[in-house]
Amino acid sequence: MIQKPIIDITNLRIGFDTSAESELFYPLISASAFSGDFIAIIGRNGVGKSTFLRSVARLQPTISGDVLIKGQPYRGIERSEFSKILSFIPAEPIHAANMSVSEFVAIARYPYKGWFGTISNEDKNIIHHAIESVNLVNLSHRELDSLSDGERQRAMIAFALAQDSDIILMDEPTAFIDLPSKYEIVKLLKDLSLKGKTVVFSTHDLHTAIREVDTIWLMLDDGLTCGAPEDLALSNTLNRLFENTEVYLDFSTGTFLHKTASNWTIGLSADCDNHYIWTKRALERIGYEVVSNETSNNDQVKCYSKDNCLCWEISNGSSVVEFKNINQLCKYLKFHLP
Amino acid sequence: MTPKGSKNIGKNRIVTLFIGLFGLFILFAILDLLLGSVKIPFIHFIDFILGNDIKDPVARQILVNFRLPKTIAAVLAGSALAVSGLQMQTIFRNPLAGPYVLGISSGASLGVALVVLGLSAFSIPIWVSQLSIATAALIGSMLVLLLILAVSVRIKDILTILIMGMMFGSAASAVVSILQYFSNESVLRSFVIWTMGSLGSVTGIQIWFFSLLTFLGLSMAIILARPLNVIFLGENYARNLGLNVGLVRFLVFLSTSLLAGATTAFCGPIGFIGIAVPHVVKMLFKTSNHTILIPASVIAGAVVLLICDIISQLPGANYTLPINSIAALMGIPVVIYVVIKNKRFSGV
Repeated sequence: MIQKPIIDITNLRIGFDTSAESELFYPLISASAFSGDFIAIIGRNGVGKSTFLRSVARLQPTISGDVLIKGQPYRGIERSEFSKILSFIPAEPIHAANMSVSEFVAIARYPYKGWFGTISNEDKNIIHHAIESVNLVNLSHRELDSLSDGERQRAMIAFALAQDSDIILMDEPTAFIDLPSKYEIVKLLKDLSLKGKTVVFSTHDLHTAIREVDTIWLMLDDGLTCGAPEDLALSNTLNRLFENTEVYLDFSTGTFLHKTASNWTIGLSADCDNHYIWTKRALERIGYEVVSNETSNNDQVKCYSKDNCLCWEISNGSSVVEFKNINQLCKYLKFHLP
Repeated sequence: MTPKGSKNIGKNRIVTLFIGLFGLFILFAILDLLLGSVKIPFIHFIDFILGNDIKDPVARQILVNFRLPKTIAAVLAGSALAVSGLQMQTIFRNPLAGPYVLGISSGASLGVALVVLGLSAFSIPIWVSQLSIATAALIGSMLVLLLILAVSVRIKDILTILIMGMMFGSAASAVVSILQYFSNESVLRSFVIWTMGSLGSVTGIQIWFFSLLTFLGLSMAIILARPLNVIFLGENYARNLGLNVGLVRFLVFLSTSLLAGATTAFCGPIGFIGIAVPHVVKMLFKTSNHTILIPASVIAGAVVLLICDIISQLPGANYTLPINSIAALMGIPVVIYVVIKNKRFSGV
């Protein structure tokens, strides 16, 4: 049995049709997502990630092309019905004075209630469950403005949950928050996708995206490419994100590195792998290419334990200097560049 | 503190505040009727409240034909200004917005200036009555309203609408200045007196008309309370939830114009109450739920303008101070407090 996509985008042209400068337009976009998909939209600043998300969320006009949501042309779906299928959480952190988390989340029930509806017990359960899912129960009566950025972002996710839509679009949910909160938010979104929601979010956090998402919608200047993160890495497509930049994807570690010109080589040996790796990182950071001690004709760095302390020594045949930490070693090397 | 417990405390607090506000409303309404330049024996007042016939014809005359309409005007104007100010603060997401940001008072001023100053400048004899001034003010504010509504249908950006409102207002003020420049002293004086505001000039049939317009505006505001809660979160959230933002905005502008337009027409431009009262209400009730804020603003607005009226008639003295000045002196400290508190102008 072939599953039907919940979002099916064909030849969508996004942007503002205000001028004749059609070269400003982003190339036609085609992509699709299924129930339970966890998708990250990745692209450089200004490429049109927000415009794309807002276009799919029907918050701004599109120029041409089709978006089918659950098999129906999305503009044809009645607005209040559409709100029950798809929710969109903007990038800007919510600011609203004198409003508690639960009051905020309760407003998400609006599509089910209309102008005159009051919150029923069933709504209260849904609101409570949404707040519970993002671990904000203890803060549910706190004012939104008193929350940290991470807590606020969780409240915004609870809002989307209370809206009870099959699809959740989020514009840069991890933009304003610290590293642990970032992982927490991404894990929360992933859990939602495992429960059957389709979660699409834009992000600049490639490391997390590559590790966690099912699919990346990669927005390059010449068009959108979809694929599993690993496929995009192996086909070298991910690296195209960094064309004309100083960054590249290190294949062996899956991390992004800065292209540094290594002007000099240096020998390195260490008593264990961890010491070797971190010393190597430091030497590369200050511009050395590291080779093994045996093959190097230049300076030699040796890392070893002495009297339960780590020591680094540097020798260039004639003299030997000893250091207590990597910081001293680097400072010395910087002043005594060959 | 359990969350459930704190929720009940919140609800009790809101009920207590409503009862307290209503008590203040009754108290100041009675004081407003009782106090004035002429001392009225309390016994006559009791008769008046109970609906009995008042024996003293002078006392009856003062109470029924002068003080009662003035008190009603204070209640109507206070409620109308507070609610329209609240609506504008939510729609523009700006704590310093008020009933006049759309240029409604300038439109009304232009209408009045055209009638009072314009016609006399061209030596056209006119019969300047309260009614003709009110009519001119109403027409002036309605014209500005029509312009704003036309703009809001075409232009989606709320800041552009705000700037348009300010520009219409400035243009109207410029024309008013020209008219003032060319008019003679006596008509200038009657115009300036109108700009100072007055609750005492709404009499007879006007009170009914004023009540009708205010009632219409307030009814719309109450119907719009839930959509306003959604719009309060910002346009992105509102449209994501399927709210017809354009329609709600149109209706809110209509409601505000009815409220602020009618008040300006019958009582003159009364400033600062519309900005200050919603903030006092938000501070007291600590909520942003408009189903609570709107009724609370109705009562609080009435209370504040009743207090202003009591102060302005200087009980015991033969003078009456301009209501506009008293309202400004009461409202400005609140506005200053809000500005200092919200150094960061995010949210409302």
